[in-house]
Amino acid sequence: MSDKRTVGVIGAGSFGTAIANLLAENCHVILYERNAEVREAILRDGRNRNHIMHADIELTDSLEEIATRCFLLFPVIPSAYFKNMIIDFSPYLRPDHIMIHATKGFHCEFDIDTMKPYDLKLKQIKTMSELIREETAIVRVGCIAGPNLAAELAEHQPAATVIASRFDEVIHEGITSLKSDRFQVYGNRDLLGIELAGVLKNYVALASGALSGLGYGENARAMLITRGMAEMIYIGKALGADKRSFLGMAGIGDLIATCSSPKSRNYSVGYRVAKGEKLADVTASMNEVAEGIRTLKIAKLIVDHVGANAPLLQMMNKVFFEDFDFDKAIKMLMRFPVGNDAEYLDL
Amino acid sequence: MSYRVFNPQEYPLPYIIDDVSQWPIAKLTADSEAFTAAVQKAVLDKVTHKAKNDSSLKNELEKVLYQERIRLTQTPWKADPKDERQFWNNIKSKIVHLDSVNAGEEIHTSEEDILNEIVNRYTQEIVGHFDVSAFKFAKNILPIFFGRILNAAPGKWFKTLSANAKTIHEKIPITGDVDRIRNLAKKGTIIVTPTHFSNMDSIMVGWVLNELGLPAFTYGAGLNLFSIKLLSYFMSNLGAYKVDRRKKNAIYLETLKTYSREAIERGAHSIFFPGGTRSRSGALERKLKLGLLGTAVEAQKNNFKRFSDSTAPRIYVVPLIINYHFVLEADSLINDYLKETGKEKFIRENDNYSTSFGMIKFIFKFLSASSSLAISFGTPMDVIGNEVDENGDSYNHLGQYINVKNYFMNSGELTDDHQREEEYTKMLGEKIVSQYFKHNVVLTSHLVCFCAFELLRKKYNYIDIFTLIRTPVEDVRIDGKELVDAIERVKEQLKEMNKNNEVLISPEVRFTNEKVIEHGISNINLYHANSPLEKSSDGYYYSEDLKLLYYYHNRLEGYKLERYV
Repeated sequence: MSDKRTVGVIGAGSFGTAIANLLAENCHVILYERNAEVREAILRDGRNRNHIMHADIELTDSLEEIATRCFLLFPVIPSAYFKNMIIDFSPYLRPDHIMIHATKGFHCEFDIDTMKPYDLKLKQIKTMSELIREETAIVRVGCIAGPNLAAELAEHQPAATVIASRFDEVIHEGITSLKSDRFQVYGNRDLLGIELAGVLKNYVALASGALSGLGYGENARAMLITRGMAEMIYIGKALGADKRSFLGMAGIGDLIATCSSPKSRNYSVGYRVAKGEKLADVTASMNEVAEGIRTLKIAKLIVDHVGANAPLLQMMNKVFFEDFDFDKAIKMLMRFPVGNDAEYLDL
Repeated sequence: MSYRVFNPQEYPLPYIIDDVSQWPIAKLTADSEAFTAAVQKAVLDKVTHKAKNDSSLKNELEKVLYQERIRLTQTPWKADPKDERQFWNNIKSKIVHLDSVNAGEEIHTSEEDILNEIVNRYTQEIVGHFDVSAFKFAKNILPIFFGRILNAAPGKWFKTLSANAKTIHEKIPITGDVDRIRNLAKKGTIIVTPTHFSNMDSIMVGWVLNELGLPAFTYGAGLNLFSIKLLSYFMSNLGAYKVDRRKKNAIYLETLKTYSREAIERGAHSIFFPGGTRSRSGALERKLKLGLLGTAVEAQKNNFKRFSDSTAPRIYVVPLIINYHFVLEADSLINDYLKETGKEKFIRENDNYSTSFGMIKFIFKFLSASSSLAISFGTPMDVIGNEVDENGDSYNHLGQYINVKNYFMNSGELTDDHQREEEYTKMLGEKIVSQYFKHNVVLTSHLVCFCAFELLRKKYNYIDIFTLIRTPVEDVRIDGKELVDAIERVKEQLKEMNKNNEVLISPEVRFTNEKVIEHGISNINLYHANSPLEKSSDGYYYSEDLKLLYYYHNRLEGYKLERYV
């Protein structure tokens, strides 16, 4: 074993593996994967999906081991499973652990499909960092968000990301363990803003995929990205985030990447649904979760509850869950009265 | 919440340390020279270190000089020492002289020397003393003094409330886990963080902590109060240190914070009013001043640094909520609030009392008039805000045992990180605020004023609050039945919240609605010449002073009770 510091990654999905590989350039990585078959396959093939595993990564199925051997932990688990993982993890976690998550989704304390906006309490919707704070003894939390398509990271293409935390210490730890010649890392103290940027961009990516599916080009996409970002700022401000977070790498940066790339899961779901496939069939055929579908429903609940202005989100909900016609939706959005350009900068 | 409740007759409780000279604050005074020297050295280190990183030290000194000269001309106080102007003129000439270094003089005053001189002056000004004999004198004389007031003034008011005059302990019920607080005071250093509504607070806090049998606490008292001779005698000899709120320069603030931190590290139990100044609006404090609070966090880290794990002295934070039926300064406070002054721009030297006689009159009015008030201790916490049990062990919100040292560790090492500590201080502040709300005791007067004002607000919803407050009082009436109904609804909600441990309520709040109104109104009107709320002969309620009604109403702000009015 090398004399590099040891850090833990929880979840060997596509993005978890990408993060583990990036970390392994500076650290010795323990990668937690509970599925024995996946672990064996990684050991046997030296790769996980399209990621070739770095030599400095070992595998474990023990959360206790990872908590004992590492101070710095990176959970990369889909939001729907995050709570169960963190509850299992909690008995081993202490205040000297630092946790930086890379999950771009919300946790909900209710059934998303039956909740009504007027019954909603905002406290019931949590970001992953809030969940970590609530379910563990850890206080030094942060998140990673940015334009980081796992497939491109696997090819060692250059990329950048943001580490956000209320603690400079967490940002520093994140940067020193992740930064490399192929990976630039920025810091941001607005944890909520960066988490929201990472989550909310999901539904804009769905919309972008849908635009392509309908055969529209780059003018339409540029309009979508720009106004999508404006919507994200409106929702973010209503929840207490700083607008500047949406103008950086995790906001506009991530939007451009996920809205332009067929490699993005959310994008391809949008694309296929617009091409006429049933949403249920599309999600059933994917081996990893597209957060965008959950985000669509949860963001709508938030917007209806706080009264933020988000026409794109409303239309996306109509076409995805109410069989509303795509063309009609686009027509309605195009007729939507607009004001000055870049008005969100004055918020 | 299950803890032993003491009967009024059991107070005062025996001191946890019999020998007064062995109290932490007495030992601090005995060791005064080493203590102030340590403070000075720490300030010098910090300021010179910071100056190296940011700007030059000379720059820093010039800034201080500039700010101090403005203070001298704009807000001179009686309490200022006679040679104040001379001192700063002297500093000025020394700073000017610094430039002649270039001329090649060999012997000159260095920047560090000037800094040292300033810090020395500040430290000497701030430092408090605890005099054992003065304490014993006060202990013997004050009960006689207060007893006199109580017995001299049972007057008409008490007869309407109860057949016999009450003792001070019956008048002022104390709630909270007293046993746990006493235990923790034996094991570590206690920081009491009271709400701040009145100048009476510091006297009340000092009194209640003494009743609990705790050794004397140190606390920062406004420099202006030291110009009142009687008060000055007690404060200077009973451990108060001086805080000059006019001095906002970086070096002074650093000295003050270092003083507090060193005192805590040396085991001196301390009182911080985290609201900074008295609540102007009458509402519970929600935004705290974190400067002094941060010294508790830093002191805890330093203790972990200096001692091995098991012996490092622990620091415990205990919120304290003082509830008055009425606040003597309500009128001037709410006026300040409405003018939105009095907070930063302008600090009065003279408040409601500025002479010994005025002060005694003030206390007399207070003790003779108040029928009951409530003092409520919150749950003891560590400096991060975790609950602490009677053994001094921390448990987080999940009930997990917590080693507090771990909060200051990174990769197995205890590290200094100022920004980290600032975040912890914010977290602690949030916990203190939530305890204020949880352990606040709702009194009948608060409830009645809240409902009455909210009814008015609803009735006149087309005008803003400030216009409403200025409406001629004869135009503003509240229907008796509406008030009763509103109180019923808010009361039910309060009882529900009480079951969920979200608020405390005084026994009188459980009376019938009519009795609640009667009790509330009679208590609040004991003091104010113009009644905040009064009943007319034809069953209406009216106010002779809407500003005061608004002020007392604000006490229940933040509980989202408006919905139930």
